[in-house]
Amino acid sequence: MSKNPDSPLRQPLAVIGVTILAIWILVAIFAPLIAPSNPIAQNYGQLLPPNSHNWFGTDSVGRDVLSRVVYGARITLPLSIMLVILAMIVGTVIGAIAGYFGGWIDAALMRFTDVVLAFPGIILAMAVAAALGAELRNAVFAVVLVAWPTYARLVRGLILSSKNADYVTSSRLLGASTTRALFVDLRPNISGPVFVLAALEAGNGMLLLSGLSFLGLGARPPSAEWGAMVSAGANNFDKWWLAVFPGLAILTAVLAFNFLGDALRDILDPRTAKALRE
Amino acid sequence: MALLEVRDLSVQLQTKSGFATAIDRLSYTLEAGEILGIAGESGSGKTMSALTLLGLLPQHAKVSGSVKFEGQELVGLSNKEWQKIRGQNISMVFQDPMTSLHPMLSIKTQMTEHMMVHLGITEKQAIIDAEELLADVRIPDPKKALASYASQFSGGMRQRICIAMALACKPKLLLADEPSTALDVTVQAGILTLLDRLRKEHSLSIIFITHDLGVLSSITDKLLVLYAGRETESGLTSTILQNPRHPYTQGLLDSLPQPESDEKLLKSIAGFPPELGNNQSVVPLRNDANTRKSAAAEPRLNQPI
Amino acid sequence: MLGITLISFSVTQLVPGDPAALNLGQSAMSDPTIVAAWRAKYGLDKPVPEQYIIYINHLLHGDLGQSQQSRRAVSTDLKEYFPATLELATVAIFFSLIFGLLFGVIAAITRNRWPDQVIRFFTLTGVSVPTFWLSLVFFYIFYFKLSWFPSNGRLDPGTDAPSTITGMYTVDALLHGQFSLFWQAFRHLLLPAIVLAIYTIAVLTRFTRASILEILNNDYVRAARAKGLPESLVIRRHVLRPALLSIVTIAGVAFGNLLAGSVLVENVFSWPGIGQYAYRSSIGLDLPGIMGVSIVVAGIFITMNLLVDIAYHFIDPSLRHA
Repeated sequence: MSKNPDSPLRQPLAVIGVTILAIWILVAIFAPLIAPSNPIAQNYGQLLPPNSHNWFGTDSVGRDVLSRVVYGARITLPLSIMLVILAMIVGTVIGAIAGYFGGWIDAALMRFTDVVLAFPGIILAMAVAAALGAELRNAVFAVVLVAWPTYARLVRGLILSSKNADYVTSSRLLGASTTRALFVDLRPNISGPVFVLAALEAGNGMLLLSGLSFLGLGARPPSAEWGAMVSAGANNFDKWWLAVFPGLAILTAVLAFNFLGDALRDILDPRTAKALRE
Repeated sequence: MALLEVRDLSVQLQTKSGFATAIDRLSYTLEAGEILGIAGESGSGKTMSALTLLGLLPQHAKVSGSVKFEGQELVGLSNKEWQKIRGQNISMVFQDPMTSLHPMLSIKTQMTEHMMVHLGITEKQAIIDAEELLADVRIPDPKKALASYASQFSGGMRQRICIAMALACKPKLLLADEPSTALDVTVQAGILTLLDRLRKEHSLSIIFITHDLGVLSSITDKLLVLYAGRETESGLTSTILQNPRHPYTQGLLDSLPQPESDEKLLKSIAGFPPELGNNQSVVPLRNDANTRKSAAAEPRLNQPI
Repeated sequence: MLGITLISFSVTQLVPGDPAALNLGQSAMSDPTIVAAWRAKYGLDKPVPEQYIIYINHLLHGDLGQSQQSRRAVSTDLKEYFPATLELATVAIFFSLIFGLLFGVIAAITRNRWPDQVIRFFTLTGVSVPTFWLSLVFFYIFYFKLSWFPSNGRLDPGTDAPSTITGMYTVDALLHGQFSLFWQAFRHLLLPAIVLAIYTIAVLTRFTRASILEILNNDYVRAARAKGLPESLVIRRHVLRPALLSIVTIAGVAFGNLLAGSVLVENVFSWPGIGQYAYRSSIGLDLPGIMGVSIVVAGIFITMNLLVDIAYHFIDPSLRHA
């Protein structure tokens, strides 16, 4: 390991994180090729622990757990990423409007944001998901609803501190429109931290989403969503393989997101990172 | 025996691209009661040279050469040994009084804690001594001051408190790193007078670090000009100021504002100070900086001081 | 606060389903009179804004409405469920503060050396693990396989709860002098508390570490060292105090979150706290229930903020003179 404290090799976590994510993405894409069996093929009466044929065992209706975990990657992973992107977009837009226009628009939007932020995530998400009906789509909607305020706060803060910067003022003096000011001048300052936040929050989003499914408020059978699979394991907890493997899948994916987020923060926000490293 | 003898002191710091020389073979001597001025721009290594005398360099710094204080070799001391010297034999006043005082601890705590550690006195006694010290630096109502917090004082007062704090254990050497730079000019004069008086009363040696030759001219006995970590000129203050032999020194002198002159623009030294690590051949960033070129080259124009 | 009521009310209005259908039986639904009476009772026949005003009115009188599921006043329900969460949250935060601060300080002091790396790895894992899954795993290992901890619920089956003073079984048992009962209740607490604590410890550790590292860079720390103070004194007196400010803030948030009822953990361990209550209300579309929980939770956060502000005054004496 090089003695140089700033070398990217000194961030093994980032490398691990990206690797794990890449693996899961590949698994998701090539699921049909990887999974040994059909994830929804039932085989009644065959509740088996891990064996040589079914490496992760089978569930109460005889489905191969390994295959279900593999196919689950196609559900949980892309949905989590999508949810983060949606939350990011909504939050950024709201935060940008609040920050840029200021005044009562800012006050009103920020009040609203603070209130949503103050609500503990699970409760709000639960209520929304339950209200709309237990479906994966609604669960995603609920999580986005809970997640956007963090982005809004961040973006608003960033815009507030840069909007009066000289380079923006000079650009406007030259006749730039509001859109141009927002997109061209301010964007570089904002995109960095926003993406770092997104990476850091992606893990939370996935946890919340699978949590909702666990409670029965998200994915429905026979969907192979990881959270829902764990809840199946909750009912027969002596059949440990039902819950452990999908849970491990969630754990590794979230871990990878968090590794990545930490490393991104170190790279893109060097000032704080340096203080943290010295 | 001189109070402080520095011979060929070099400090290397670790950066992204390897090691960089922050201080390059510095040598000087200091007697008791003398004031040495170290002049240079930011980045010249002046603060670093002071921190070396207290062992406060970053952990990865490499120090070579010799620093003898009252005959004791300071280079290579362990942290524990340094703790005996810091605050007690050698003390420092830092550049920014707004951030050097702890915002949450009372002045009393900050004044007395090292007294109790170094001098082994009781808190009661330390408080009495602290009051005297504050009175000495002309802080009104020392009793009340001790019970107050840093935020309640102005910049000038805070710096006086820092000076009192630094002198609490009667050190022989005081390092003053731009002590008046963060303050406005009138307050600056007050601090300088204070330091001069304290030097005389307590026979204190001071190393005064600044970029402002005007300040140095009024208070120092000897002068050392630093550029990119290297001595470029040294000698008695009066001699240097009347007859600067090095163009860099001349440049520094020229950059002082002259109220009587007709010039409209302040003179500055063309180019930029070299980056840390660029110590082989310092290449000026603009063409006409002959000044900097010769600052980088050998030989030095020193009188051993 | 008002905003919270507004939002939760809006959420309940989102319900596409018919709460009446959910809460009345099949046969009841076929009789329009009964349905109408039920609606009238819950004020569902009035226009929406009016419903809201009525609710606020009741709220100001301390009436949180009546749960559609349990048929009792929501406030009564909550009085029963809240102490359970309070017990759990208190034990969890206790563990979390001790270990979180300890690990955070160690990580900061040994930055980038092996203790720091190990701690950082564990905290990252702690933040990434799904709590519902961890609860199951722990339950399986520590109860099912090892029998170190008792089963679900707050007490062993068939045991009577101590008569209510605070509602917290552990405290009440102590107050009644029933030590074995106390011990039993406490043992039931431990496993869910530990699961909750793991996440909170991870968060607190990361935060403490970051705060301390940031402070270590400050000028006044360098000045303190320059005075020749021993390093332990510098850390204790000069570094920890300012660090404590940000730590207290985050601890307040963490405690608030714990109090808000960790739905997933309570669900797995069948712990009848307000998290469970929120879950049941959501599933059953029990509108007053949902509203009630939201109000209580909002109240908790406001109280926490207040407590943190008070703590600030103790930690930073200079604030009194500002």
